[in-house]
Amino acid sequence: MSLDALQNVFRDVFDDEDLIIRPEMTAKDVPAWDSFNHINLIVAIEAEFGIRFTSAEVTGMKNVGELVKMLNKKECEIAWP
Amino acid sequence: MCFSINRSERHLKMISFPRIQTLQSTFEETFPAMHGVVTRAHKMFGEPWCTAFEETLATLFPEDENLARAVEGYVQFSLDGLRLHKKFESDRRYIEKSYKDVASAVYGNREYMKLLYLPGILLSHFLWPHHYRQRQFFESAFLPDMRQQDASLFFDVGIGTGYYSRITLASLPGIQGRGFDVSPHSKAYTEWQLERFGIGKRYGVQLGDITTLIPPPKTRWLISVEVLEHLEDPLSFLKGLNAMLEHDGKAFVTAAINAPNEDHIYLYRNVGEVLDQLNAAGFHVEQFHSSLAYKPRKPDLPVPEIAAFIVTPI
Repeated sequence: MSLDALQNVFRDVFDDEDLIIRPEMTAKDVPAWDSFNHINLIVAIEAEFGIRFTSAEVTGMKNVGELVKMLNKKECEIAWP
Repeated sequence: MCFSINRSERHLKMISFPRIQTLQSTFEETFPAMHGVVTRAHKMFGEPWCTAFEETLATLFPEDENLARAVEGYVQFSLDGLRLHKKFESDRRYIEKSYKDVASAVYGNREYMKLLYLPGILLSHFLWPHHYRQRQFFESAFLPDMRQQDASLFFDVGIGTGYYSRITLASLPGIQGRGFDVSPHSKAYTEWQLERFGIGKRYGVQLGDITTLIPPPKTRWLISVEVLEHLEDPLSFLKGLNAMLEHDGKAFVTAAINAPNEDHIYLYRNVGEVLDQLNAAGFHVEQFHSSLAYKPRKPDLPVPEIAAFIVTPI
């Protein structure tokens, strides 16, 4: 599991090969990041990492940094450079 | 994640619809990532949608606690569907399951049906654009015929939440309805819904498989919404529907296409596959409508779709 894998999921869902994720990134930073694509993103992350979020976790994350923390709690071992 | 919610704009436009406002607030507080679903549908369908949805919420979920539980059911229902769809995008097939498996896991599961499945489907009729468009087709293309011909009786086969039976009973004040379903929980939910709307006395529900009814009861007007994909053998079911229709009868039949769900068994890959089965079951298709759930993310990825048909016996 790696940050690259997570970044690739973001790039695929938002159809942006140049997208670079960072801890403070939020939906406001990505034009295509609406409610529907947020759910698509979560489902894609679940599929990529073989984990499952609860409904509260899905919608409660404040930014990408918190997403990574949540993934690491599920033993995904993602580290920021 | 930190969704920007324009509260003042939303507030001004929905001020006349307090239950929809409460629903919106519930999404914002509890599931902020999904807050856009209400405003999206509002923008697409406008005042008629607001009026119909407000009436539904005010009648069925007048207490905030019940509304919050329905929202939870809807969110879970949506998430589960999208998870299955993610897998479907790569596998292009539904997870194999028998009708018996589904009946046990879903239709016979009181808690699942009452808290998640039925409230989830009920809210989806307003919050999923393709579901609401199907309702619009029903109201514009099927109900007027019933009205014009003074329909006195209709059947609803596979009642689900009872939503389409309720619309029919409310639109045609003199009509009687008979519902058929295999789930006692669907029966209970439908009866509860109709009672809340004060139209329960004109309706009765029979539990069981319609293909076992010999001789089949007959009607000139029949509705069967999103049943086919729940069956191992939809063609036999369609023949059973045909047997219930008078020779001059008409039916409103719908199917879900490329739409994996916990209880979807039969995969229709396109509208043509449904049309073929309708023809094979002895139906002539008068009109049809189909609608995608959303714009395809990429050209080669399947998108859930619904198709609705107005049919007559050949």
